[in-house]
Amino acid sequence: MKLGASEFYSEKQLKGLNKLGDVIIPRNGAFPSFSDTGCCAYIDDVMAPADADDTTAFGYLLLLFRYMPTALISIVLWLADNTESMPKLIAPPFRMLNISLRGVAFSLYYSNQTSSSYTGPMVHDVIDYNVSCTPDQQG
Amino acid sequence: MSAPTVVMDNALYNDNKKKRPVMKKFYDYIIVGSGASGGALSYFLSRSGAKVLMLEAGKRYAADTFSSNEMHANSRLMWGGGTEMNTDADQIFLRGKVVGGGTIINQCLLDRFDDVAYNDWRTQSGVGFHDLNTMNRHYDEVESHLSLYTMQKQDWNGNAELYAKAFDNLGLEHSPLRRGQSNCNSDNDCIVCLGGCSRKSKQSTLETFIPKAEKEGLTLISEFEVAEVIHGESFVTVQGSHKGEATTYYGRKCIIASGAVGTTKLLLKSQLQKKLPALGKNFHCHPQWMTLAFFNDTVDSHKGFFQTLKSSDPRFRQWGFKLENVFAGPIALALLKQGYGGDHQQFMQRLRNMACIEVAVRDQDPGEISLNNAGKVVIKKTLSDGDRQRANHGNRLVNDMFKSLGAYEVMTSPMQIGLHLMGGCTIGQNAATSVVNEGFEVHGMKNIYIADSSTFPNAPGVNPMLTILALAHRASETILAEAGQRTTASRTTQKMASKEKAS
Repeated sequence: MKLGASEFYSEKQLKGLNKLGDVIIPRNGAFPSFSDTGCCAYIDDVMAPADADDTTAFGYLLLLFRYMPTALISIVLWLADNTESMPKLIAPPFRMLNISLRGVAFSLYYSNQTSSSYTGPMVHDVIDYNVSCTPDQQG
Repeated sequence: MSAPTVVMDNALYNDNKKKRPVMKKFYDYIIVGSGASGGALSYFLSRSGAKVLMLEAGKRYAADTFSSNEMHANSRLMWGGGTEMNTDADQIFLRGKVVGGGTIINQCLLDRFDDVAYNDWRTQSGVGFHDLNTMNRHYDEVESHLSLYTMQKQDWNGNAELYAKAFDNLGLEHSPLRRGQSNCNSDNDCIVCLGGCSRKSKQSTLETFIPKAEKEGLTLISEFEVAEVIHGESFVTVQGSHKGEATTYYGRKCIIASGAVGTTKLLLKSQLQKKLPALGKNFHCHPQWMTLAFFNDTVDSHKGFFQTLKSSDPRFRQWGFKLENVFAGPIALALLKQGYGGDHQQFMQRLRNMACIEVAVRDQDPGEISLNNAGKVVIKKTLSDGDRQRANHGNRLVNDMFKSLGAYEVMTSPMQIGLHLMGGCTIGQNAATSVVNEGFEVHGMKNIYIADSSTFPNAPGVNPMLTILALAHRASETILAEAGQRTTASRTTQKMASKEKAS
């Protein structure tokens, strides 16, 4: 699948994002995988409020993930998610990495946004999440 | 300071009919920020007939253009997309970047502070008006501009039912929350309005004070990021950029109302830390921990009025924390749970079976806000042993509550969240230990005022929005009195103010 255009990231970087996303949210039971949904097309929405430096740094990570073996990505994620026993000086960068990687993947996937060609189950239907607030007619 | 270059024209002042030259970029008052403090001030100052300019870094949304999508709410309405952290990267701070500021993304829970909060404030600040009796007339005034609703039992959703039952099981008192809303009903899911209320019901400043101020002549410029304020003896220069274009405005007075982090950041960027040694100190955030419990029956914590009850047992004040009846959208829930892959998906699939209670600690030990070499905000906020003990006590209690209800699993998220950002420009009498004086003037700078949550001397342990509005009203009186303009108070409150002065 050819990935859509991003103002911030190249196609290689978006492939890295899909690879990372599929480790965090694999195809599993009723859940489509991260890349199945095509939600990475909305990466610019998520990164829009980030500083230019952070956007660039995240892009380098995505490029790294594009070529990194999946098992190694899992190890990075595990380390970032298990900082309790780390020395005080080392833990904060890993916690930041954890928020960044999981934050971007979860924001895209659980936003329920998909590519226009996606025909699988919607993520909010899978988790049975349905909310609404209707604007007041008089408003 | 050199004289400003200004554009002249022959426009008229609103407050009199005499023709005289005015400077297009010169205002009586410039307000930086449009949240609770800025919004209220904009109205109280504009209605005196003054020429008021409000500058807001975020965009302005019409009510029906707020997205119901959680991702858009985070990325469009919050600084950093809602991912600003402390230096230890174990606390996340949420602050609004939108016209209406934090009042757009909060739940608009409006409680007056109690004597406990004011006594502690007065002890620390030495400020006489930190007193509930004195502040009551300001509460009365701001409440008269708001539609307030006290939640009823029929408003409870599944999560509230469990919350109430758990309190009863442990012999603890709870009471209904009071919220600023005008026309909500249980057919709607109020969790959506954490991303802006599309019904114009939630009493954000976007729906209350700002439109009233605009009717009185307020000029509001959104997407204007202020870079620096320069204090002069007769006016203040405010420099910044509007959609990338550098622009300068001038005001007789400038009121900075950008919240604890925004206001402190602006003063730091304006190189005022040498003149104001207490700048950036005394930061508090009511750190919060969410505990989720799982039940075999459906709870649907996200449906209807999702926040209706509060912990009101007096023992909570002694313990130094409160328990909130809350929930979150799927993106926030996903981040609360550690891990990824199959286990995490199984967690998300049980969303409708989750109940949630949050512990909000009245943090005793302050943090500090500074800037790094790149000019980015750095927040140092490490939990002290005492604050951690309070959090552990609260989380243990919540665990016991859920077990008393028969939850088959209970999980406290390790992630701490700071929603009530306070301090950094503390009010007080001593310029060495505070940033603004009792009249809300920045020490040594008679033309710059601050009346937002950055002035809080310590953490009150109560939702701060109503008190920020009330402080803004008090500040507006002080500012207008200093300028020799008529007070903003109604006749009743004027009488009460005279009595207060006489006593």
